Amino acid sequence: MIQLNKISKTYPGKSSPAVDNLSLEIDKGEICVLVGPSGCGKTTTLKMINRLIEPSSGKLFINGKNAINQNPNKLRQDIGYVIQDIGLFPHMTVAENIATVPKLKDWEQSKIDQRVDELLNLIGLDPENTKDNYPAQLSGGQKQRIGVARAMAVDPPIMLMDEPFAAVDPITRTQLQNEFLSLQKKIQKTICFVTHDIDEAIKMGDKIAILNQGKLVQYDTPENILFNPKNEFVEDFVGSDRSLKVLNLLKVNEIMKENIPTATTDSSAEEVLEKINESRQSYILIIDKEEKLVGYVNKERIKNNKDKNWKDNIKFSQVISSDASLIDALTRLIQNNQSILPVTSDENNLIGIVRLEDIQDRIADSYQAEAELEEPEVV
Amino acid sequence: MTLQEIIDTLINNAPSLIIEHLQLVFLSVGLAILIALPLGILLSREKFKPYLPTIISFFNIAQGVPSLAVIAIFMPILGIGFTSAVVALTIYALLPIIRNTLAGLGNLDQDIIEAAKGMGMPAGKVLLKIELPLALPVIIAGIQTATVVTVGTAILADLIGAGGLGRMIFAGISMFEPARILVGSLLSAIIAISLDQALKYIQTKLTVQFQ
Repeated sequence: MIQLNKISKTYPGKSSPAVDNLSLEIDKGEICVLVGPSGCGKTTTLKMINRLIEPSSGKLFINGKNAINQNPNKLRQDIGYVIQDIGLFPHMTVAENIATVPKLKDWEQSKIDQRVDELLNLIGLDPENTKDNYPAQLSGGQKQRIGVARAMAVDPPIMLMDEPFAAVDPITRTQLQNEFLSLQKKIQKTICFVTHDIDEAIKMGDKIAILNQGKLVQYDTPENILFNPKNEFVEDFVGSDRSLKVLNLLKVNEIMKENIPTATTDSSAEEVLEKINESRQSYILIIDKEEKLVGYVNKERIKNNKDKNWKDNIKFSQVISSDASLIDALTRLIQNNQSILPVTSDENNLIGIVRLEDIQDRIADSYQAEAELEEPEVV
Repeated sequence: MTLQEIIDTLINNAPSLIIEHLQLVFLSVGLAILIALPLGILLSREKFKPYLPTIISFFNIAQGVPSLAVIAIFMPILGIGFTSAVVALTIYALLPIIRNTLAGLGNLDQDIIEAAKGMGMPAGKVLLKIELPLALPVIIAGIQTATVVTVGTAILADLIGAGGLGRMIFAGISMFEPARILVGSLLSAIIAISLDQALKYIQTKLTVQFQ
């Protein structure tokens, strides 16, 4: 879909090239993350794809067509572009911002209006409440979502994202990353994504391209970057806590336990106690008639408060979605001092649980893999 | 000086001189906008960017030349009269407008412009839809400065026979008639303040209140 062929860029007055003879191919529907230390040429590479920076030499093919011969404005209208500080136009409403490229393409106003509503719904914002707002009235996370919506306005097959989640706080960032990954499952865009954060690269990338001093060091899957680093540079860049970073790659549904014992809100205290005993746990999860999670109760608390309604002992629990990464699950478990975390659907239906001990087992497994990797080679 | 004298001056001399004065101001500032705006936009473009600090400091220094000197410089070339005064006033009014156009367009958030370019917006549209609307408050502030300065400087235009409120003030000085000096000065002050407020109003109407 995107093919860079021996692309180089030397800025005027500089002796060494910012990007040096770089060849890279990004397949359709894949997220390719360009990552590296500052000044490695990742942003220059990204901006050469939509020709905001013209390459000094080399070839660029987009969708099989030579992009260097095309009108740069026409080329850019078919490539979504999201940048770090979002670059929303402060003097235009949310709707006008999203309509930028459709207007350049002379869409009819009714079609534009419909598309704006559709996109706002897609990114989880209410069209009626948001579309006439100005960017200054929005939160950082909302602005970022609008930035993504604007880039997708004409449904371009390719999107370029330059540190899109860098300007928001860590909690919002995790949320935006997860949202974007589940959105990507639906929209299947070919994405080139720039970040300086290796954790983000591992989480977001189908492929990771590690750059250093304008050269491509390794272009591989996140697994291979973690466990088969090509040289010392990649190894150092990935860092020593590889086994923890693997948790970025694994999803909750990979270690989730399903068919867990539950009790419903209309059971009696005796029934609940019996179910707890059957399950050989000290607690049980409580769901309502529609199988939505209500919370959990402890055996001890029911026994100690026999005179009260057992439902008063139900405690609220933090939950996680099944497509979240294990690092999110681990963070949430540690923050809330829980040993299990219920997994729920978007509608709060209970799907299963993830247990701290299972995550620990996975970490132990990858430590073993790492130990094997670092064994000195026998000559 | 009695109240009667002031009222007489106002009724008999003021109306035609006010009109002359406003003609001088509107013509000069209008011409200055027509010249300064395109010039400012041109100088703010990419290829002039390396020279921008030099250009801006040139205009800052030029602004320091006294207005009387500007009028004096043009008198030998263009002679005396209305036209000559308009040329001198126009040149003097150019400076704040160019300077503010450059400052307004030059200090825009580059990320916003890059986002526009990156979405395939042609350069002309980037200028019209993004750069100018965002720089408009600063540009209008330049026009406000130019207008106020021109109302004051136009008093001196009478020295080369261009008329306006200057005629009333200089007549008052030579005839020792304080009423004329007072009425002339106050009227030009009122004109300056009213035009300033009018432009401020236009600016708030033209700028989207997005903050």
